[in-house]
Amino acid sequence: MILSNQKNKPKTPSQEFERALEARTEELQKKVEELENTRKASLNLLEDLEKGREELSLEKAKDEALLSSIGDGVIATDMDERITLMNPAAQRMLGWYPENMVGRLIYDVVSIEDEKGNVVPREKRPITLALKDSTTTGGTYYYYIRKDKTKFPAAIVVTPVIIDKKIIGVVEIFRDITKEKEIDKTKTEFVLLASHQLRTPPTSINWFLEMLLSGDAGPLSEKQKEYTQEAYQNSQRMVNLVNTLLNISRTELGTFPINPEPTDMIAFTKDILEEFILQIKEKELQVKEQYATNLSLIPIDSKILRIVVQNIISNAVKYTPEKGTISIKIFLQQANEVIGNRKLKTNSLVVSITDTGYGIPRNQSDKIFTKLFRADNVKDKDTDGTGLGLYLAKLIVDHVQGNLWFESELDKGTTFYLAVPSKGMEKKEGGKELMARSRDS
Amino acid sequence: MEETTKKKILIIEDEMSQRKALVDKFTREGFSVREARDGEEGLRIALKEQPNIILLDIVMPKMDGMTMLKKLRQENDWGKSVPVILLTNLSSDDDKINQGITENEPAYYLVKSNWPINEVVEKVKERLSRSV
Repeated sequence: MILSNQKNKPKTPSQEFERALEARTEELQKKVEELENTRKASLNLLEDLEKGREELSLEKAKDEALLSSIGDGVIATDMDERITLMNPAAQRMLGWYPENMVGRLIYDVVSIEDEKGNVVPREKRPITLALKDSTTTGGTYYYYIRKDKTKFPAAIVVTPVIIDKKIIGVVEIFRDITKEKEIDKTKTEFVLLASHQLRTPPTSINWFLEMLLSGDAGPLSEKQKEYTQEAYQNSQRMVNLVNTLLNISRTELGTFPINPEPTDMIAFTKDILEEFILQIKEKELQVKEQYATNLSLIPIDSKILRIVVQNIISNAVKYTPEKGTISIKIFLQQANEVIGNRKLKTNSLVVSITDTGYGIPRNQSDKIFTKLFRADNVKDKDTDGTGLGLYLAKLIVDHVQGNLWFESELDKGTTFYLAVPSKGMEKKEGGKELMARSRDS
Repeated sequence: MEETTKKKILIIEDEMSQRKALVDKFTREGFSVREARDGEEGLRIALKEQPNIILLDIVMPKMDGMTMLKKLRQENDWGKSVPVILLTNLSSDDDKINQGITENEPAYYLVKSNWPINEVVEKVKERLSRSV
């Protein structure tokens, strides 16, 4: 009875206070706990951040070590062509240091020149082109001008940096190719000198034999004429060999320029065919020509292509017996259509030359474009060949992004196909030109 | 033919057998022939004899053909205009040679091994006929 009375009894002020205090204390304790948890969470976050920062530093250090150890020069720019990075190799090669370069426009700091010593204008520099077209530019070399105004040849590749499909800058990698150019120069000089020396004895031999055949030393008997003629022809072979080797050397060095000009391929081919008229008449060969109508002019370097077409026609004439037939066709071929067992990747202009000659043995087909190769079935029919003509022709065609291939059947004949992209050849800067059976090169 | 009516040709060539072939051939063709074994001798004879045309090799001792040609062109009016045919076995690949050709204007650049001697004679006659 007391309890019930006590229960209903109103609380005193002090009791109220105590109760309030207890509640408040409880509340505070909860808050303290929460704060403690927050503190712990913050500490964990800080730890994670610190760990992340350390990992980033480590990655950055690795990247810097990698960049430092790359032997090639690396320069990165932003979209405005301001330098953002330069590795130690670039600094060494150019003589500039990052504090002088980072933040500056690259074309203000580093000049480049072409082979002829002309400054390459900004719009033609590889970095500008890569930024403009958002593509990798490469396969070029220019001369970099160092801080001390000396220069060196450099092979340059520039790649755009793309993040989230947006180009944010470029990276240029360049390599000092002074040694390679010196080796090339030495090779070229050797070839020139060797060809000069090799041409010297046959010159005298040819001239004196010619004078004999002309009767300058008195009339020759038939037999004397015959023997002299044999000697003369073989001396001519020597000269042709030297000229071919010279062209091969220029081709293998890959340094010859390509200077395309709009060309009428039909007139071009007919002109070359004319060179073989005497031999064609001697062997009583029939020539059939079939040309597409309305063919547009196509930009080609006719000096280079002449070497190829000359070789193919020469072989057709040489390896077709008397009274045989040579058929020449010129036409357009669409990409992905099959011609001569081959599908071309691009729309092309095709020159095909078919003969009714000895053909190429199947088991030797894969060697036909190799150096010094001559098929067994023709070795005794043509002793004048160098075995280098088709090798050179293939080298040239590959170099100008064309195609050269053949179909053949033993004792029935061969068709050679030469395909050039319909859009023509691309211009290429280079050193010395190839010369097609020109007498003065 | 009287010596005075014959066309005078100077052959400057260090290779003895080639020089002999050219001298014999042009003599037979009715030319009055002078010869020299190197550029230095060639320049001296050219200035003294003033031939109608000069056949000039390039690779020679003492003075090469391009140097001789340059000096000839700088010497006097005659030297500037006399037709010179470069007759050499050197390919025209060298930058210096090409520069020399541009500056000193030879009539032709012929690679000897590719030119039958009869055709060299024709070339000389053709060039001389243009000078008349």
